[in-house]
Amino acid sequence: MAAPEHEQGDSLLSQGDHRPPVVAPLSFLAPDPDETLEEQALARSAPPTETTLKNLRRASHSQILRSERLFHLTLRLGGLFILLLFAIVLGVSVVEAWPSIEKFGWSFLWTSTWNPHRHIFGAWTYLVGTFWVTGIALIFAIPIAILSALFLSDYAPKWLVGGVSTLMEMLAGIPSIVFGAFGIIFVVPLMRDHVEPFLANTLGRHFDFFSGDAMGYGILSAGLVVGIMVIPLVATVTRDSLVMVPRETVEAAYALGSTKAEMVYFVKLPAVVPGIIGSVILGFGRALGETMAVLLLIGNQASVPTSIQDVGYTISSLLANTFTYAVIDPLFSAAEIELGLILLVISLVVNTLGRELLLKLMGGRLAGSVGGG
Amino acid sequence: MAEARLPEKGLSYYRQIRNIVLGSITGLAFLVAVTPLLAIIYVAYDRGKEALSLSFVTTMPSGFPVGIEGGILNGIAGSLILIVLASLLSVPVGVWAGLYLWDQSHTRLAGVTRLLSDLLLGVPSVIWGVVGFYVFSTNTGWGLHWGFSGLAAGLTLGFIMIPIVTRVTEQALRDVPRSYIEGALALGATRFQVMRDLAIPAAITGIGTGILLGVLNVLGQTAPLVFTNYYNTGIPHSLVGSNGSVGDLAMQIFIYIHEPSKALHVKAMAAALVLTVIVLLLDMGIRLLSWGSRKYARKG
Repeated sequence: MAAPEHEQGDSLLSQGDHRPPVVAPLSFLAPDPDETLEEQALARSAPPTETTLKNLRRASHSQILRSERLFHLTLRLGGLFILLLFAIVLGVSVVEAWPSIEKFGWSFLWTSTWNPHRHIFGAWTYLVGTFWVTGIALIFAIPIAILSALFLSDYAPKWLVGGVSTLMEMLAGIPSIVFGAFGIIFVVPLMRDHVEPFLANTLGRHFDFFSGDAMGYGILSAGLVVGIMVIPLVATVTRDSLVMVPRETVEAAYALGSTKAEMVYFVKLPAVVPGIIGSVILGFGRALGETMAVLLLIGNQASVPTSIQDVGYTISSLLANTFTYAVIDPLFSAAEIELGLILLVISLVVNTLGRELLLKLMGGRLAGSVGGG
Repeated sequence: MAEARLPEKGLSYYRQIRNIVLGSITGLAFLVAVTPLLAIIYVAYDRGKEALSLSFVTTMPSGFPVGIEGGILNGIAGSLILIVLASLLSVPVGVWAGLYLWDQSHTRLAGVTRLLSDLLLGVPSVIWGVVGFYVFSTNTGWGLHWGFSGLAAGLTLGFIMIPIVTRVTEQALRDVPRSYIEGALALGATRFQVMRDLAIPAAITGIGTGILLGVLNVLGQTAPLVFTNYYNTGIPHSLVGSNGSVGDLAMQIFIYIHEPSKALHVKAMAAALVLTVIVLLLDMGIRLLSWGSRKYARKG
């Protein structure tokens, strides 16, 4: 038993520095290195009997093992908290939504009636509203965010790049309620007095989609403000994947005679498409759960928007606005929570997708962001 | 990335012009992206400056409707109470879970835990509000029956913080050089000793950063408070029960901006500026902290 270990030690030493780095996980309960040394020393001095070695190992191991095992289990308890928290979130949503799930089944998704007095509930209006706001936000945010990311990664002068990147990241942290207040004070009057009449008088003459009464509140204002909110997130994550494009790729493009713009747009940008998709998906998830700013700006009227100037309602703003009245009626509150459950499921799917894409690209380093506010 | 300026003579005009145009577009887009964000701070200052003074942050709201005179001390105090409560729950739990994920990172249970912790990061804040309502606030059915109260809201915010603290703690521990750990293990330290005497001291700045990042993320949260706390114009004597609601800066902005009153809108914008400044200062502090620790790590 001692002989093979002896050989192993020798062979490891003889390989010297060319040994591949040890990447075994820390928890790997290796036999104590001290012990191996002791054993080796014993093996060199005098051939030990089998029993001496066994006793030696058992003594040190039983001491260590007991405390290590306790430690192992104690730590695992910490992980169980996370499982418990997830179970609480999912459990509360499913259990409290159950009366509605049971009563309406799948038809809940495409029913557009929402009548608490007659006890008929359907998600369609709110689903459409949510996707309208998210869609407007993303159409506005994605091109700007990606181009800004290109500016941050390639075009910004070197003395400026640290400053502007930090600025962008810090602005991502402004709370949602501040965006909402800004929207009411600034965006709504701007929309009402300038943008919406202009839209109605130009595009609105040909397409009903752009016409409507200029109210200031509605899916357009909400979408724009959410878009502003999402830009820093998408831009920062895209920038992070742009700077990971290998230098060789860049230099090869230059060596083939491309100009800087050709390198950036035709070589670098296509190389990070998975990263861009990932960041857009994260932005989508963020916009989806956005609550307070939307609640203040969308007009909160349960109707399916047909024009970009219409008012509407999103799932999250409905919950924040009416949930405290809805709890009086079990079916009403269950229907609202089922809406929340739909939002939760979409958010989880979207975030998992974005996370997987970006993790694959960045090798495990990903800053978390909490959706909504 | 250092790049020599290329000689662009001899290129066709089309390519030269395209080079300039495509390049300038990115700069323009950056301006379009940053201007509204800076405009928010400017508009908050511009519309709120009438109300801004030192006494704005040191006096309680008064007048009718409440808040039309006086300041936002109830909101600041309430936000502080909520952050302390949230940290009391999330720091021990989050750090504990982070230690677990780091130490037993290869096990299947840890893989599942990590996935769920990342999924929790993406849970929308209204859902956290609903969960907090049923676990802490509701007075019917199961749950803790604490009513709309500071404790309910604080612990709900704590729920939101837990996955953030977990994630950053694990990352900070992973940044401790592997050779330190292996060296200690080779000297015969147990894993508990390695964690207590080596990994945690080495990662303490990172863990602190994670806690502050969590605080930053819950500081402006409004939606969960609508479900669990709502608002109080004063400072409560108790944090549980029907009189247990606390004031909150974000909630205060929401309520003021919802009122059809010019004077309250001014107060709301001033409060929004205060909240934004607090958030940006905290953000800057986190950056300095992690920048300092990175510099230290490079020296070491």
